[in-house]
Amino acid sequence: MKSVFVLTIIGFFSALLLYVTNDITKVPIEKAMERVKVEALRQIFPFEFKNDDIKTVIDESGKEFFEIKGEDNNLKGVAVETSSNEGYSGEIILLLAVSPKGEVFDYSVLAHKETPGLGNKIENEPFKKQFKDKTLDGFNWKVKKDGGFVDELTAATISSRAATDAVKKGLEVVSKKYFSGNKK
Amino acid sequence: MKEVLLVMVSAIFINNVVFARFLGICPYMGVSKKIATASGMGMAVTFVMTLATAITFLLNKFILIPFNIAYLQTIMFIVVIASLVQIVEIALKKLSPALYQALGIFLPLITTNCAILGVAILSIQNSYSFGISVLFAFCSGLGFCLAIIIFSGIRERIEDADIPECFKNIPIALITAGILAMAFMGFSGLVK
Amino acid sequence: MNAWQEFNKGIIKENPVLVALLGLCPVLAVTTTVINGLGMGLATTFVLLGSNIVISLISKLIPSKVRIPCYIVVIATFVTIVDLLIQAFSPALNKSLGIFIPLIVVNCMILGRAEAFASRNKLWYSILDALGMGIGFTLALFLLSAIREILGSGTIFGIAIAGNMPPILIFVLPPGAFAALGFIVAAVIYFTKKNKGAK
Repeated sequence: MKSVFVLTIIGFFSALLLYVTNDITKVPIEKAMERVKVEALRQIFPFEFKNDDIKTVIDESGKEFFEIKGEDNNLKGVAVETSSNEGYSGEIILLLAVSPKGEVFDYSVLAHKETPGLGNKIENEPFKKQFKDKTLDGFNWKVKKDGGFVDELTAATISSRAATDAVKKGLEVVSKKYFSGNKK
Repeated sequence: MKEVLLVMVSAIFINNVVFARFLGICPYMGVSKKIATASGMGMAVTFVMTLATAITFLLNKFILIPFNIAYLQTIMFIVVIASLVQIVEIALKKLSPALYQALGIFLPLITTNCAILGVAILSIQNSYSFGISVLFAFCSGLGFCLAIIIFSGIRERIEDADIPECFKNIPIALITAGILAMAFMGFSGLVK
Repeated sequence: MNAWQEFNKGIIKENPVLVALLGLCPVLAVTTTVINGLGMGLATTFVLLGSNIVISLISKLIPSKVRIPCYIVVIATFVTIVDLLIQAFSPALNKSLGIFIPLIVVNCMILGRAEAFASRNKLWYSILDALGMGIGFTLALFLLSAIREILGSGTIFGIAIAGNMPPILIFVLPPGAFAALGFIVAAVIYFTKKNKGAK
């Protein structure tokens, strides 16, 4: 009987302690997550913006769009999370920034499992630069090996293919939501 | 169907618990000297891992999330796993003495096997469905079996080899594991 | 044993990683960079210190039949506190350590110290034991992560030092982790034997 009693007391105290800790850290954790998101967005847009300029829009399917608004509330750009399963060893997740005209600004890699030193070069400038200002039409969204326009990375064709695929998918999602009226 | 196959191949070979995720290294190093004990440990781990993931999945879905107490995840899961191991031990003793003979001595060691807790948390982080979670856990267990059985086979041979005094036992085992990990890296890209 | 010895033993003579080979999962998994290694070491030291203090205070009240569950609950409480604090104040570290923060709870070193030391010794000695073991653990992580980061990425603390030399990638990959630890342990065994021989 004593065992049960002691276990209950210890369980009670640990739950209490955790409840208090959770209460204290709740706001800092939310703030930290917010800060990480804003920093990630800052990196991929070519212009400056304030935290208040970011508006998060969630569509019916639960997909999040981060809209950046200018001074007169016009849309300056939109960012969206996009991913591809075609990676060498798993999913590649990107944060893609698109201009109001449907051109790619830039992307950053949020998560990947590609080989360090080979596949992870999709994070680097020379590879990313190829997508700048490209739109969904007028660009062949394939690597050169597959007859497209993207220069694949040496020894990392699969990673290059996956990154290209992810960017293209992100662009499609954005165009479907924002430009479906005036396309084609 | 494609997803099921992908999860299986990934859990057994590509993201092998031992070689790619670094989970369950302690029993991997500790009980891999003989093939017989290694396969016993592997089976015990697979069994408990599958059961634990199923239970923690339900616990997470029907208790932690509805009551908004996700921060109690670690403590809940470890307590559940510890008691699960105890229950399995008692149940096996009563129901199947033969199986208890085979797995019994490994069960207490499993409570502090980080692969069990790790796989339970991973399947929640990956937001798998219930079925896929259980499959993922089972295949991760198989991956562990595969890793530890191959490894114990090699270690049995190494025992007789002439190696420098300071490399005997653990250091040479670690280096062997490194070479095996390299072999398992060959599996990445397999799905493509 | 005097207080200094209690503190000292964990650092070299009974180093939890290099001699006792405990808690190898985080040791191998997070040591790709020095920052990660140190972060993991300090987080584990905090948990060890907290659990040793509490367990040495309450061990007399706990019936021996339920002592292990009690220890696990105490350890898990401290792990969750560390987890929440890291999430709040260092999201980058949280991302790179990932699942290995909650997994501190199954680090056999912590339960081992609780069972073998804190439950049998006075508060003051338990604190020294936790600090010594924690520092020993952190040092081992630092050593391994420094080797892996310098050889594998050509940097230390993220600062490039290798010049134009191409990094040896294998050291940041899993095989390099196993092999590097293997060589370190071999070196430790070699020098311990040599010392004993000299005496």
